[in-house]
Amino acid sequence: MPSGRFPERTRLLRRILISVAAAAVLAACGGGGGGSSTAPLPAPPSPPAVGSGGGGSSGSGSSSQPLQWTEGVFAPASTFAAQCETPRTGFDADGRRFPDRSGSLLHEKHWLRAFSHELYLWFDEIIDRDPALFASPADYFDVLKTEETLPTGRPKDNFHFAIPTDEWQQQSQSGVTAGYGARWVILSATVPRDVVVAFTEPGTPAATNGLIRGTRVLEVDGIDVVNAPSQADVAVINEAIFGPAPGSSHTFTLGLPDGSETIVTMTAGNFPSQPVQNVRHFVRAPGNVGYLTFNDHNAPAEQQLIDAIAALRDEGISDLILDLRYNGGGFLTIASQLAFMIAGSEATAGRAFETLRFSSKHPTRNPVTGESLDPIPFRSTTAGFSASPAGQPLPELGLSRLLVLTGANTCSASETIINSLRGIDLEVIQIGARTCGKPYGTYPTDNCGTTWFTTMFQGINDAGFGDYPDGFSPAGTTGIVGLTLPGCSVSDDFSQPLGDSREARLAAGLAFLETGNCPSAPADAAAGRARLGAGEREGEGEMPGPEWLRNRILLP
Amino acid sequence: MGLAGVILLAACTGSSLAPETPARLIEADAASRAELQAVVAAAMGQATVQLADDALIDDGILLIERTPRTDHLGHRLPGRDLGAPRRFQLFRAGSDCILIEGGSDRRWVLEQARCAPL
Repeated sequence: MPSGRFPERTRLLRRILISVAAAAVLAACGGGGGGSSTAPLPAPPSPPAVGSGGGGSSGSGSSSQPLQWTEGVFAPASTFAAQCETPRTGFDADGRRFPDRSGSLLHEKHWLRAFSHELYLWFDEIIDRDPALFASPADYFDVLKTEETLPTGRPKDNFHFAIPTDEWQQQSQSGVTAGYGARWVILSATVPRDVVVAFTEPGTPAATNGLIRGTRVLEVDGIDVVNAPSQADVAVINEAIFGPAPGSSHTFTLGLPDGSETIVTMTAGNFPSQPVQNVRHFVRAPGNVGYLTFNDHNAPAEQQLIDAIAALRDEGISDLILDLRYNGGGFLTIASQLAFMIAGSEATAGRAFETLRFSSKHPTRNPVTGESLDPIPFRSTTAGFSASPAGQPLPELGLSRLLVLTGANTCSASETIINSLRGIDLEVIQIGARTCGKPYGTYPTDNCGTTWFTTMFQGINDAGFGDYPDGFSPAGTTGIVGLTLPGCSVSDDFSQPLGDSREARLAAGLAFLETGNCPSAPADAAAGRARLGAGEREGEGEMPGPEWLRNRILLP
Repeated sequence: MGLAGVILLAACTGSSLAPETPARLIEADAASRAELQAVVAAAMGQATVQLADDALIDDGILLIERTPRTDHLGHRLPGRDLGAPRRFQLFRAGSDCILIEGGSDRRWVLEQARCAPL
């Protein structure tokens, strides 16, 4: 369901009510916000340069001439912007009046065509098709991307997506999610299903009720999670595990890693995460080895990373094992700060953390912000995300190598840490499994109530490298192999806690640092470790968020 | 309409002349949590905002960002976020508990809240 369809029109009344309330406050008390990386809403369009009115709509701003498609001929996207089949009224989240005016689905599709031609990273690989032949903007958007494949056979562009703008604009306290405080991994979504705990957040119902890494969910509210055959039962299970309403209680029969079973009742709530956990060091003959689990590039991570790195620095570590196996990215500023803290000021001085590369149409300027495409430096100071105040110097380790623990859920900003450090000749050793392969980014862009995610730029390191669309793979990886780094292919190990020296990936990392060799026994041979499944996430499992309820979680 | 009423009353109550000191919430009950949620949601231009059950209780700082989303493959959207969170901090001035937004310096008196200096 790459872009899919959704009932956004049914939300129009609610959106209007929200907008009215927001407008009243802003008008009464002033101010305005910032902090968004979403591209600004388009300016109210000038009259179309080509005929309009096709698609069956009429009204202010539309002429009676049909929109014409001529292969290879593109009008500016602004020509079609905000001409909507169902225009929004009122104000957006930043207090700006929606620019929408009466248009048609054909206007919306022509905007997508022109927008993609202007900003899509691989604009010259889009096959130009007549938008009138597609039923909806979402259907048309699906083909406004490259159809090329990578040498491994995977699609070149796996990141084409759209969601309703009012959903995209929803805000949360940083790091807060609804649930019980457990992060689940699905090792098998079909019968016999297998859902295990990857880790828990301190102080949450999951933690206080004894759920630990590797705990399996056997029953929910009396329904057999492993074998329940009916769609209705699976729907109940999905909601209870992955999307419980705050305040709702559910009873779980759990299988603990030691083979025992327990029954607990947990009440869901909104709980903060602790993105940095298990900060510790291991005393080894060549030198102390630091370790930390880093699960999310969210705002609270800034202070937690500062505290962790300062503590490890004070322990005099000579190596660091950075556990990124469940880190899917987030704020790039956090990644830049952590890379700086690992490498230190001497190694990063005058070097680029990353440079954004847009399509060949935009070699010198960011086409969205208008800024010059200057290299982004390693950030050596606080940004004020959670550390206060901004501008304070960060602690630094000054290491010459880094060992990362990775898996299929290691993505985006996490991969940027690896690539940026490799760009300044820091040795990166990888233990685990292939990362997701997302060296790309976008400015999510609204038009007519939908926010469109089309790939706009690629991140390039100081050495000019950013081509890892199949991810980074440790040596010894089989199947789909990304850019190979020194290290060991080791399956995820749910039999031990994260940060425990017996956990397979950490154990392999510690051994590799000492001997330069991988463990001789396959790490997935032991009981309790990741069961192999089908597909490219073999042995890794999937880590859904609550929003996956509308996509896929457990299946009948 | 209750939401809009709370927002307007809270947002437009003037700030005290008493010195402001960083504070945290104490004994947050349902009413104070509802008020806090309404104020922050209005500040963000949203109908609702998801807050932790213990928001502002530990350190009096509230960081707000776009609710994380994942795509059809489970990848975070966007995995490379070039933006920044919005930051709010609680202060106490006299007997008032005041929420102040960093950057804009917009402020709201939380009528239902009880707070203590840090």
